[in-house]
Amino acid sequence: MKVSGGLFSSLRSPVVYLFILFTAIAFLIPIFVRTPYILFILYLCYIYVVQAENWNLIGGFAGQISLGHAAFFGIGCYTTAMMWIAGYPPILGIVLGGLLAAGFAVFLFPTFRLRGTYFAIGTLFLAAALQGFLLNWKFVGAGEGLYLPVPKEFLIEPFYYMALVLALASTVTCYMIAKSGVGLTFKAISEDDFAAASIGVGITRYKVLALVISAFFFGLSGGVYGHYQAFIDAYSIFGIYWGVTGLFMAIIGGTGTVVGPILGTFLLTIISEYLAKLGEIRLLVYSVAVIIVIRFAPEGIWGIITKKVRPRLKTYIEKSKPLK
Amino acid sequence: MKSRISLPKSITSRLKLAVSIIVIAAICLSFYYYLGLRGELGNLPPILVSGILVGGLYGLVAVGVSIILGVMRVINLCHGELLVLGGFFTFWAVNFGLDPFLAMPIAFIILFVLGLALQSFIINPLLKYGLNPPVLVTFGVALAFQNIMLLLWTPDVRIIHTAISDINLQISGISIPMTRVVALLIALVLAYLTRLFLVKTFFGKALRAISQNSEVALLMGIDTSRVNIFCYGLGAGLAAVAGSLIGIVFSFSPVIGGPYMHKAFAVVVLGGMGNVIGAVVGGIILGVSETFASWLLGGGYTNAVAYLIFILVLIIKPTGIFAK
Repeated sequence: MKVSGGLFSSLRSPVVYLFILFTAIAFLIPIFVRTPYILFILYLCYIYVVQAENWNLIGGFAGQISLGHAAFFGIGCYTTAMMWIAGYPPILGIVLGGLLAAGFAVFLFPTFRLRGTYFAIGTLFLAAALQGFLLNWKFVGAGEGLYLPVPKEFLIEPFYYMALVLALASTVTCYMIAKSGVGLTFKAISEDDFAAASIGVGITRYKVLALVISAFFFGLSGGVYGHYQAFIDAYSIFGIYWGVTGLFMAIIGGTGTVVGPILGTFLLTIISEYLAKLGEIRLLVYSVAVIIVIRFAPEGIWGIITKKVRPRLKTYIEKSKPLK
Repeated sequence: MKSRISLPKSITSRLKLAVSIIVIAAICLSFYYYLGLRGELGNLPPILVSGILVGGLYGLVAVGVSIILGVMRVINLCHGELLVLGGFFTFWAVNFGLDPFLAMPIAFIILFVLGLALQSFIINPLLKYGLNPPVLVTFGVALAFQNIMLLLWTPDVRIIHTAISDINLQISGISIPMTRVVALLIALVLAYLTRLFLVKTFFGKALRAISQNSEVALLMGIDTSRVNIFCYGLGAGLAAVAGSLIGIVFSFSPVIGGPYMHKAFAVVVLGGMGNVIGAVVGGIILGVSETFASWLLGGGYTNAVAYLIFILVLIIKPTGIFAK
């Protein structure tokens, strides 16, 4: 009999029930909240959740630090925009963007010749090179950017639900991967890829798998983001901001966990929205937060909760039980 | 016995060297012939000269990155921002009434101290967690510095004016700005001093020992954390001088750090990490190929050269072209 492991082993954990509860609340929010601003912030949050979860897949579980995920985001964003301008329904563009990003990731397998920190630079260069390419490509508007055919009636609700479903899908995917043998293989690669290779793990195949899944969801998130914009340009879409948000949120929440990135996303977004009146300091807030978290708690906030708070809670509960 | 083993090795290495020299010569000759057909041979010397002059600066930026990478195996992603910060300090000292070439040592000392602080408080305690946390924390520091500089000092482009800024040298019809020559000289002298420091002094010996194997160096009684701190300070100080020279020769703003850092990484990969002479030669190779590319293809593709060199070197010879 299998005692631990398996997909539904942690159904007894309160975290899963909390997650289902919050999901239900998230689906009901647009019925009660009519403020477009709050819905927009939540929509952005869900996009960040997609990015944090999927950066976490390659950076947290598989341990390959990527600094160039803006490339996949940008591919999704530009594909959606071009399809929309060409007259196709944007949903088609979003799906195609995800598939294109995943296809692009498949062709990146030579980058996994680069180990550790060289992989980080390689991906950083990749996003920069793609940005430079798009800034010179006349077909996609080059440096002037693209104006999208935005209709007059433009409600936030459909986008809210789109982003929410995407966030949910990526979280569930991450959870299933984390619970399966593939997740275990990713962890083995992140601990020591030479050792993993020596016991017969095809490390390049698994690294590419992690990259392809995360690139697919990044492409979709780019599509959902681009669909709500009236104007996109390669400077901002392929810029440093979209390359680091997922990364920073995953690290602050706790890499290598499923709950951590979600926690990090909401925490960072709330903090930066509170500080928004001081000016455009979102990146400053993120970067200072990430320095503090890496310096004092390398396992992130969820790591602190599971390692420090939960055992104390358990002992407290056990102590407060009446003796039989 | 020794000669029997080493003889084939030296023969193959000489063969490789000969083949590569022949290939490079063939490329140069065909290029020369092509230019002769186009009747543009007169453009060759100025391009070569300006490439070499720019390349010296790239080399100086790369020397700092190379030392830090060689000793700690940590890619210093905030090197570009340290460079800009050094440029700012020199800029203010010049506004204060100081000569720019006297202000540079001051910028060097300030950034040296800042580097010591960064390394001892933020990066050093993280080295025990593996390679990813220190790299990510330098990335956080980079974004924090960049955003602080943007907030405090606006994204305006600044130029450091010197007494020799308006002087042009005329050598056989080629007009060379005096500042570039002086900058190249300063860069070469500093690189040479760094090399002397690494080769001649006891501290430099310890530094090289750590770069070969930090654990064994620790066992031999070298205080690796102290050497790391000093080494990071040295790298930051060199970045400050390089930033000041960039401010004198070109211009600087808080956002230029990234591209210079990218170029420095390409140079380091080209020259091999921890190799000062390799960094300078690699910088000059990058400078010359960049000016050639911008002349042949137009200005939009200058940055692509660095990415191309990075990818090619990592695929063909990942240890750098000057590795033994």
